Amino acid sequence: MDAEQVIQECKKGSATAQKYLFDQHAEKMLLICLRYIKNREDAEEAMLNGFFNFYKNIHRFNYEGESSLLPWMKKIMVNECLMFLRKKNVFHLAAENEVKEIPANEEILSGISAEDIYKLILELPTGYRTVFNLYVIEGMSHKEIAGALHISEGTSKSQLSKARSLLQQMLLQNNHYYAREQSR
Amino acid sequence: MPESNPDKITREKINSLSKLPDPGIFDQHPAWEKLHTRLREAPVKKHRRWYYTSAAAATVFVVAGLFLTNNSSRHLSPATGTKQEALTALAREKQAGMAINKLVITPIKNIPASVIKIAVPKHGKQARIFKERKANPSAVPASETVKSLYEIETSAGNKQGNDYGAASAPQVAVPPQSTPAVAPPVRKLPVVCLNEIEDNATETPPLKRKKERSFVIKLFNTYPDNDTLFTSSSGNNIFKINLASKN
Repeated sequence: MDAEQVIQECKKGSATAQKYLFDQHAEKMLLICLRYIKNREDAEEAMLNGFFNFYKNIHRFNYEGESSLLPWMKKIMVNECLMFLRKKNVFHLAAENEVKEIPANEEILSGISAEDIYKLILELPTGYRTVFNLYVIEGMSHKEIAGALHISEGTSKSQLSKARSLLQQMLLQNNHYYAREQSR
Repeated sequence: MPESNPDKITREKINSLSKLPDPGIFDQHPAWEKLHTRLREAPVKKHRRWYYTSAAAATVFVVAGLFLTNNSSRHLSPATGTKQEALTALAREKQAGMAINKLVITPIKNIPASVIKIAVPKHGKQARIFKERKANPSAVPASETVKSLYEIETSAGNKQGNDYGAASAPQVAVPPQSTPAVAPPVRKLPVVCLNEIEDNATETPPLKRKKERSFVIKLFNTYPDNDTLFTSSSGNNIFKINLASKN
């Protein structure tokens, strides 16, 4: 079935088209939600809420190719996750001193698989992880992050700096681990 | 902030992920069932919301209509309530406003005496002063009030009039059919005496006290009974004392 046709059917309220779209993108959307919400059940709940809002507001969506569908869906999921985190009141972010960043070794980064990077991101504390996700993965500016999380720009910057520093430390530790594994 | 290369690598790697790190954990079927149930319930809520919205809108329209109707009727018919009478009242008000706009201040000599109606005094001091002023208008004292000069002048029927200069009272030429030229004189209320209100109480003359008082001691040869009447002539006087009143 064509993606545009699926969207049109979803706008009419067809359950088959809705299920088709859900099966196509559910796992990827759950990956996004898990990047923000570590708990699996909560992440699934946020994903379902995101899909629910997506179907409810699909009449506003103008299909302009596959590239227009995924960003819109992703944006809805990210917003749902941020709303969930705000409800849980997990943000106790305060402006901290920016740490001196260790320059990330591109060779190390290139050598690590996407799954391992994903797991390393999940290891970050909630505040660091959220700011890192929004800035690095979603490409938002510090001003946008500050508006979304109701924090100051300085807090956003310091949280990102800490997150990067922590990730680099973990990368170096993993690199030693991989080096040891390879030497064996 | 310029994008660093490690960020770009990280983003590309994360976006390339399409499956969970631990495959087989996520079961899509129960998740879809849950979502489908919620989606089926959603239109009912939407329907209810539509009802609430329409009811609220209808209420607002009714209240606004009532408010506007009340306001317009109050404006049109302040006293009687009928539209025609209200329009007549408005026209009358407009005419009065136009008459006020036409008012022009003119000197005394231009006012016809017939317009201004003031009673000419016929008896008493006022009549005498009036006659004197009429005979010799230039003899009006400077201390005379402007009002009295004006009254004498106008009541004399002097159509030509005298120009009193700065002392003359400026008058307003009012159309005779619209408003009276001069306010009617204040009606003097009759003085009511106490006796005129039909009080039946009779006036008694004040008692006049005697200036002298006398005491008489009498001697009787008989024992007085209950039936015995003592008078001034009965018995024998022993002695009589006259006392002068203190008052």
